Amino acid sequence: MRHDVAAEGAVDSAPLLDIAGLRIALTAEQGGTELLRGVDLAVNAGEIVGIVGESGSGKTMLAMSILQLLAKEIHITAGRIKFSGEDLVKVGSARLREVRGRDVGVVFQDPMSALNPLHSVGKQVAEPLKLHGMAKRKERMSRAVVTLKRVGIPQSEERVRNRPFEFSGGMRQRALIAEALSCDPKLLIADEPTTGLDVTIQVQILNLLERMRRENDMAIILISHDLTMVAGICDRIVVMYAGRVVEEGATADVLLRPKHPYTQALARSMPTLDTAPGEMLPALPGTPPPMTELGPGCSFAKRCSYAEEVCWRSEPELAEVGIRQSSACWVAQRDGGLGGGAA
Amino acid sequence: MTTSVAADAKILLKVAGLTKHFGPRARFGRTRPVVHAADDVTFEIQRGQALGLVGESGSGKSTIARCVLQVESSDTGSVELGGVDIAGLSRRRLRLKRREMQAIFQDPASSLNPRWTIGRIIAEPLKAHGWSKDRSEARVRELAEQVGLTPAQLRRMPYQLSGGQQQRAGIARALALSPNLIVADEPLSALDVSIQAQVLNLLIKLKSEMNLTFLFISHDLRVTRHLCENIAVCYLGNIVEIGPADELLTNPRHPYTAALISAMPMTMSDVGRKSGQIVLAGDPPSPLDPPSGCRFRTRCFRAQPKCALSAPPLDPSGADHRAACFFPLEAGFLRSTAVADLDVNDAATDPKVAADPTGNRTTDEVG
Amino acid sequence: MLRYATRRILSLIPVLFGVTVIMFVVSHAVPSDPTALFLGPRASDDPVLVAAFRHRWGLDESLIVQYGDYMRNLVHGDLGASIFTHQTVISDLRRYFPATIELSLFAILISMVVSIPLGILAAVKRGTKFDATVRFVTLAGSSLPVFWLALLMLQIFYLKIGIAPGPGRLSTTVTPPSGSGGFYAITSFFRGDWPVFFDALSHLIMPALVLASWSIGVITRVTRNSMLAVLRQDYMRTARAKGARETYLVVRHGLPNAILPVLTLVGLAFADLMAGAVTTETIFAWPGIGLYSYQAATSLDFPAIMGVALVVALTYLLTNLIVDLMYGVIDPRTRLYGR
Repeated sequence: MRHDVAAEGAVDSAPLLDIAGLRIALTAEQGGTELLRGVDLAVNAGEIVGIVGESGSGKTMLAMSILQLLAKEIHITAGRIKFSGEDLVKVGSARLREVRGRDVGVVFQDPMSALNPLHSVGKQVAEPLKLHGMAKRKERMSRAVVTLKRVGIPQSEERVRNRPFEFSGGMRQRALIAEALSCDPKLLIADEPTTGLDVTIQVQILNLLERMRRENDMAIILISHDLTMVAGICDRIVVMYAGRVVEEGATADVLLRPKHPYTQALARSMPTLDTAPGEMLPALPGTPPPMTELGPGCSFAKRCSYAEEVCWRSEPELAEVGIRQSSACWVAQRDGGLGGGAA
Repeated sequence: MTTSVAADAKILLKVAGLTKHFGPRARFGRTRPVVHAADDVTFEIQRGQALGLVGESGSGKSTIARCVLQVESSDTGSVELGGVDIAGLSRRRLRLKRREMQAIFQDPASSLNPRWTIGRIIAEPLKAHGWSKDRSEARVRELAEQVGLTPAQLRRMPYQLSGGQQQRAGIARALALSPNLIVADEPLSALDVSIQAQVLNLLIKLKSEMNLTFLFISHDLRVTRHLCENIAVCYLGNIVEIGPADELLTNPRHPYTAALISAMPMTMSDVGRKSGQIVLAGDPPSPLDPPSGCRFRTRCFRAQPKCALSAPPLDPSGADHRAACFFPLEAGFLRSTAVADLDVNDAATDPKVAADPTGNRTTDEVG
Repeated sequence: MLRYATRRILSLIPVLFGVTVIMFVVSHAVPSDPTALFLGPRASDDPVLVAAFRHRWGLDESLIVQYGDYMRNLVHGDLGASIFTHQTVISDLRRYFPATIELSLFAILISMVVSIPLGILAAVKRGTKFDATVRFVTLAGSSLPVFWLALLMLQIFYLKIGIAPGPGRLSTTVTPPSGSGGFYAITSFFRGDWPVFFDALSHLIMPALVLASWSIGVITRVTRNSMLAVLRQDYMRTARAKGARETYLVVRHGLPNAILPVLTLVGLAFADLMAGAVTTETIFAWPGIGLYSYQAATSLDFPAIMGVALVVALTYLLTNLIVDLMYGVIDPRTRLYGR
């Protein structure tokens, strides 16, 4: 089930995942508010892309939409999601079920509740295999044992029979990852995989993801609200705000030379060893706007220290500013950057 | 890094030998296991300063906080607030003393009564101590202004406020009786990143304006260092290292501290650097059955046979920066090449370190 | 699992003991005297007769002594003799209880077969007309008074249409199977005695349906709510993300989790039915424990009252035990925390 050699090759071969113009909204009965307002995202094979944003930015929504796992009240109103050339928005449910779990794996946020408390861990890790054609139970379980070993769960032969409540938080998260990796998917979507876990366990999990990428040549989409944690393993970072992508680029560029005021403010508002302790941090004032109250201008203008006349009148599109870095900001696009980089 | 030490700076909070075990209780011949939540915890905080209590789950930091607040009674040890040992006070006198210490909690939504207005929530401590309605209202308005809440927000219900605003309400409530000590249990963890900075700024402002003393509990070293002059690192109920914040973060002496530091990029230039991370093996052992000797030895990259035999005490030298370790790290360890070698210390690949989930390994396996 | 089961079984004993004490005290605290009832107004004036009666039935001893006597007999399997029927309480129970057991079993079976699938479907199709219909019908079923429903059914199916059989457990022309111990339908089923079986069954249907009308309402609602809560859980989403079909999701992931609260309810409903439904049994002339307990209560027949109380208590305890054990099997967490 490994992806074929043809995808390896020139850097500009077709991306594994190609999302264009994605728009998501609540159904009319629920108010019809738009939650994603035109998102473009490309992920190449073997790449780790971090999607960063705060609550309400739409990052989780974006991840869920790839496999059409959105709640009933939310639907896709426009755009395409091409995976290996196939538009997942348009395929039938049978084909979608094939892709789920086999070609694309998902790791959800809360390891406590994402596992069925009544089924053994082994059974759940082996389930994707069962759903995608491996009939013999013994075969599935031995594969499950191997996968659990790979994610670093000790004594996996005995632990396959355990129920989730017998696992600690870090182990549960690793079991979830094992579940997603069961069929060796080409793409792994990890939604806040380390939130709520101890810091030292977070390090382990991220290390694990990196190793999986190396060993399987698997692409990973890593969603988080923690800019610095994500930066550790991501090749590229995508920053989201109010349902759109506002900045995108290579990790080091986005963090050290941000080209969108939001990213810059976010980076500056985090205390580091370089900031003087006890000094006021340059905190971003206000809160993200509710999706129901977005005006015609840039959604960030209200909190932006660079805001100009044009920013209030129309919303900027994502455009290239600098090498392999894009930003949705009038000022940055005009000046080729922002005055004053990250602190 | 200490703030200016005025000539009359006194120790506001002094904790000595604090120990709290939960259980055992024999029941029909079965004994329930003991949870070693906190063992022999000792520290002091000077008036107007903040001590950060840093640790992961099971470290005991929440238990320590609750014992300080006297919400739990400790088994042994003393808790002196302003020179008075509050652990032994009668209920009536404790109640009076409680005015001097207040708490801020992690989840603002659950620490605010969802059926009361914000104004009423903030006024609650005043009411409990017999303030008149007029005085109460004036004080609430004053507090709201200090924490950045508008008068309109005082009339709202908690669910109508954002997380950051709810936390501000919690802070206002804590300040109502003008306490000297604030025990803050992970007050920023449930907030979005940009809001964290706002609330952190508020805490800094209040600390300096009102000369507040903080016991600040967190798992985030960067935030802790920004607010606190001193940091104490907890692991499984013990304080394993304590010292001035900057000193501790640049030259950690305990291996666990080093692991914590390496897990979070401390400067922007650290970010994106993929090497030099210390990856600890396995899960933290359970406080039900801590390892013999040094409790950290099962995950420690410097463990030796000696570590299983006895628990290293917190260096009693009386110096500012102390660690509980037989083989403390040298200055500059984090920046040395030794760290790069620790990179792939993963349970799956290192058979010596892997396996035992209870974390209790025999001395043969250590080192 | 074994330890859990043992713990649960052992906990029955103190409870049963407590039940006997309470029942004994309560029934003797009732401020009326069976003596007057049985002897009639004139005989009660004769102190010699009254004394003889009281002595005969042990009513002249202190409460504690009476209790002691009772318990001693109980341990030997002697529940005393009914003051009313003059038979031993045990033989009375043997006569009346099986009828109720069969009726209850049948009623609860009908309930489960109807309610659980209905509840699941209503949850899955939440908000649709189907869901609304189910909720309305079940609400009606549990709100309609039992006696009214029973009379209505008799009226329609017996009087008007004439397909329902007459009162009682068997038609007068049918002889009860020998050695059945009172379990007519069950015995004839296992013996393959089809004429008797179908006759017994036809008599069971109407009273069972009447009794089930209430439990169907409640069980369907609880199943629906439980299923709704389970459908919202994160692990459903995880399974969907792995490529599972909706039916598979509902049956393999949803059902085991949703069924737990329903189990408790079914157990309670069953025990409730076993306590005997006086009204239904009266209307359908069903000689069950409902009738017996009514009779015992109104004639202050202490031994009979105690006997019925004990049996009912035992039924509740056993049903609960079975439910607990099933929980232990389905959800291993209860084995850890259940005590």
